[in-house]
Amino acid sequence: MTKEFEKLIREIGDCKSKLDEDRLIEKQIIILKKFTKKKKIKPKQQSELVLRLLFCQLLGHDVSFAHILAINSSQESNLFYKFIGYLAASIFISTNEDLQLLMINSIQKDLKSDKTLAISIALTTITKIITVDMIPAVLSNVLILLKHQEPLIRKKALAVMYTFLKQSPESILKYQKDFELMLDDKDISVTGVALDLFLFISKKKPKTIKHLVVSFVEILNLIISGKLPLEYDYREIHAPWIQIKLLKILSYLGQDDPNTSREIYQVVQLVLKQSEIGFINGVFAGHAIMHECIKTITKLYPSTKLLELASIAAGRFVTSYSNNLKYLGITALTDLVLVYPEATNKHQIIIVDCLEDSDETLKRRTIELLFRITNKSNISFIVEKMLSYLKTQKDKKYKTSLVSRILKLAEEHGTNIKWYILTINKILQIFGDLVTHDIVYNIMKLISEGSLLEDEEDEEDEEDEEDEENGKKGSQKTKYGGNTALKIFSVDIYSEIISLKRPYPNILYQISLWVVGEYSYLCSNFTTEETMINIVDLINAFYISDESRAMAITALTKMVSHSGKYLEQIDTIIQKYSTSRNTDIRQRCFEMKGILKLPNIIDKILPLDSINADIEIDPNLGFLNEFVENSLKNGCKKYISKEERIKMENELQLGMNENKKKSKELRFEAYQPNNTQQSSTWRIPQQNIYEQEINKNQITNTIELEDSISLKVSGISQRWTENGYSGFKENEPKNIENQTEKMEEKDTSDDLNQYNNLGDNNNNNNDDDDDDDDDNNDNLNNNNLNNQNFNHKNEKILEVKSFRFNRIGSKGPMLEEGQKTNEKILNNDNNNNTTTGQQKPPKTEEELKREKTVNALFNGAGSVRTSRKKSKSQRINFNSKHITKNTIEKNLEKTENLINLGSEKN
Amino acid sequence: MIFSVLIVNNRGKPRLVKFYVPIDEEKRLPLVGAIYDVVSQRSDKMCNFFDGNHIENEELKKWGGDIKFIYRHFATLYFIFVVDGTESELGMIDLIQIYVESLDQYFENVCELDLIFHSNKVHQILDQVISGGLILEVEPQMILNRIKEQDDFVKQTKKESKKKKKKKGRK
Repeated sequence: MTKEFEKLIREIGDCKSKLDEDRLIEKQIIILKKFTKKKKIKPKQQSELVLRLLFCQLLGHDVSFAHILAINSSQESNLFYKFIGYLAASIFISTNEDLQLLMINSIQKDLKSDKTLAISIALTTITKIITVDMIPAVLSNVLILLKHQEPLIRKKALAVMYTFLKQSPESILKYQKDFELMLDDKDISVTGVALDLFLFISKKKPKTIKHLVVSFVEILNLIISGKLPLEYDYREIHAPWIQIKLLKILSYLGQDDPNTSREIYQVVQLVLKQSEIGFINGVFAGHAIMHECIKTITKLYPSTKLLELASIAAGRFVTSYSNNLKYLGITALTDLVLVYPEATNKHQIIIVDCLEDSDETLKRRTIELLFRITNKSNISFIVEKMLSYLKTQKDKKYKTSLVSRILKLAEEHGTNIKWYILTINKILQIFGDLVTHDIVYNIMKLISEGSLLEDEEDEEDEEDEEDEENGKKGSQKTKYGGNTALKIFSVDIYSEIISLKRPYPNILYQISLWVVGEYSYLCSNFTTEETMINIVDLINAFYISDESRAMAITALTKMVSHSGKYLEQIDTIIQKYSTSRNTDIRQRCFEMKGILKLPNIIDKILPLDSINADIEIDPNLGFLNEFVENSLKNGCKKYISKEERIKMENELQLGMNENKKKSKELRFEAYQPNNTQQSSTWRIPQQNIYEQEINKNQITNTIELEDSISLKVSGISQRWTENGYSGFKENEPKNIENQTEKMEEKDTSDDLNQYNNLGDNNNNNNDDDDDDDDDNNDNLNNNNLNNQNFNHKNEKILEVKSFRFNRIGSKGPMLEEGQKTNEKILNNDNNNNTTTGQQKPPKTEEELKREKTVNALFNGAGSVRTSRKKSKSQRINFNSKHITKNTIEKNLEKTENLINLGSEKN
Repeated sequence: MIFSVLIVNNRGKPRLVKFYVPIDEEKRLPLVGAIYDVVSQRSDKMCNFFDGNHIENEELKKWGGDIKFIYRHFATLYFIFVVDGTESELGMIDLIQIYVESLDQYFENVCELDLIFHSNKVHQILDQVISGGLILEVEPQMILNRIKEQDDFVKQTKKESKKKKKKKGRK
């Protein structure tokens, strides 16, 4: 080593910052670059340079410019320089193929050398730089070296074969016989390296070496008999690494194979017994063998005797004072428990104590083990311990996964539903923000259905699943199922949580609000008024999210409707939050306002404890068949499937393109009136809604194109229509409708239809409430009668959903008998509505589909109290409810206008 | 098998970086840094192993899922072995012990500076213990004998070459 290099190293050692260091190295690299450009360098200088390069590279600098120096150096005849060259090459070029090829030549030469040292260096280098393509170039040489007289060379050659084997197993496996010969080598350490090859094979293809089990057992016997020369002992333990390797191989070979396992049992037992000596001496290698024995026993075909011994041995590890041994003991037990559940019985307390250790790795292992040994008797204890561990945990990712796993565990093994609810509340209080929503639905389901509690006393021993089934059966027997005691219990807990007014995670409040909203009438420790005040306070609290706030409003609505009690504070809440920025909250407020105005049907909208009332959903919408047939009879077009529509659209687009071309030229034909007609209120009977849509597109498109040519009709109220002049006294309704149009420009015609229908239906409901209003209107009364008839037919469905189904049911009869009148009104409406210009087409299937979705949403809304199957989509349904109910409100107003209009006409 | 042997000092400076699997040059030091970060956080009371899932690194995933880190802390240096599931943890601890013992005997009371100034020797000794990711020799005395043989051999060749030069000069 030159003084220059030494100086560099010392300077770098004195550097105080990374920056200084980098500057020095960069200087050095400039010097080195100068040297590499020289044509002739002395070998001594060259090797010195290579050492410097190694140093720079170690500190993370790119020295690829000088890799060639290393290769040059490796071709020196002097072994010292050669060694440095090879060393540098093996470090520099592990993935650079071009340089690897340059190396091959000198490696081949050195493999044939008569100097052991040269061969040895070359072999070491091969293991580091070899790629699949290079194997054939050196394979034959290495195979010869397997029989070299020096054990060191044989070992290194085997190591090279191992790297070959890893890179391309297929081409090397044919030399398996050669490796088998190596097992009988005079030098046991050579055997040890050969075992590595077999370990690899036993992992990949255990069947191909089953015949060798006998020789492996023999070697193992030989080692533990102590007949080997002393130099192979490590601290009085005979060749520990080779023992470990043999045990590993045997465990792979004996896996799922009772016959092979039986051959192995005896020797494993012997090894285990002998390793105890090492254990007493406190040598790690001895522990290692014992640990390996436990692992092997767990993998072999189970033998009760050995498993017992293994569990005793594992106990020694766990009870040890060294963290290393504890860690391994816990790992071993984690595997052992799967085959031999009794293994942990004696050590449970020690295992749990490991959770209080300062060693994070040990704790994580222990948690894994605890997950496996949890059962019904220790669940509450273990969960408690895990939670206290969780509180100390900082890694959020790990924490999240652990929380969900603990929840799962509680669900699986929990026998007592009260305990389960309390535990989950505890978890939610602390880790609420880490919990997924699934667990919330689970809890809601549990409380509403009530499963375990009732049967607990009689059938404690039965499995959870059966209990759940029982719960289900029970729920079928009673009207809606569930367990009143449980509900009282949970309502009490949750109303208390609400009353505490602490900044708990939102998810906990959401559960609480739902439960309280649903079952507040069962609450024993608070009166409904108290809880309502608490909820009002909660809504005003700063620490809850808008989502929870919205749920709180719904909970209030439910409570009011269930108890019939009303508080002044609710008014202020409604007032305050009707203007909230959050649309969800706003909608719920309006909805609450609307519902509270309808005292007669309030208990139908929000019936008591109806979560388990199965709502029958007819996915085919069979009740509409009649209506569809009628519509078809009346000349409606059939439903066109989506594919067909897309086709038609494409064709239409082609047509439009042609139109475009045309529009650029002069037009000699007369203008076609259809555009203006479309935009006015001309009624084209039996026009398909779909066609209308297309026309609409056309209109907008053509208007864009022909803006300058055609008359601008939009925005001008048209008084003259097909039916004559209709411009008087219609300002009022028109205005309102214009407003709504502006709101829903996109789908004017469709929405309008819907509005009309909804309006009619709401009318009907109004009729139920106070007939006087509508005495003037014969048409609507007519409808109403029809409706009632229809209702009688469908009594089944109507109990809960009469409110919603009325709406749909009414359409059939309405068109059947009251169609004309209906259409009149609609025409009227359309006539007034000149700007939209879309007239009411008869119902098509397209629209029915729309109804279907609306209907489905309504059904979902019925299950605001979680329909069982749809629990995940509940949130969406929840919202949809608001939308639809909100529209109903609007429609109520609108129908009133319509009624006025109709009466005037009449 | 053994994937990698690392020697890092207390401040995270690598003193020896050896990989027995192909890895791109630019990816080596980031990986060493990531491993050092975990190792340096651990107190001496903790156990000497940890799992691969403590470190998120794409290279580690390439080597397979079952990766263990076994390390020992001597004075200013961490000796870290990266191995797969086929190696025994305790066995590796002893192997580190053997390697350090050999270094100690060769340099007579080894210290960090020895590793810096004689990096080629450190590599050479390691190559005696491990080759291609396999354990070759576990007896410190044997290892030292080999190294001494090599040293002697190199000296001999040097002398011979000097003699040759002298002869050439005489001629």
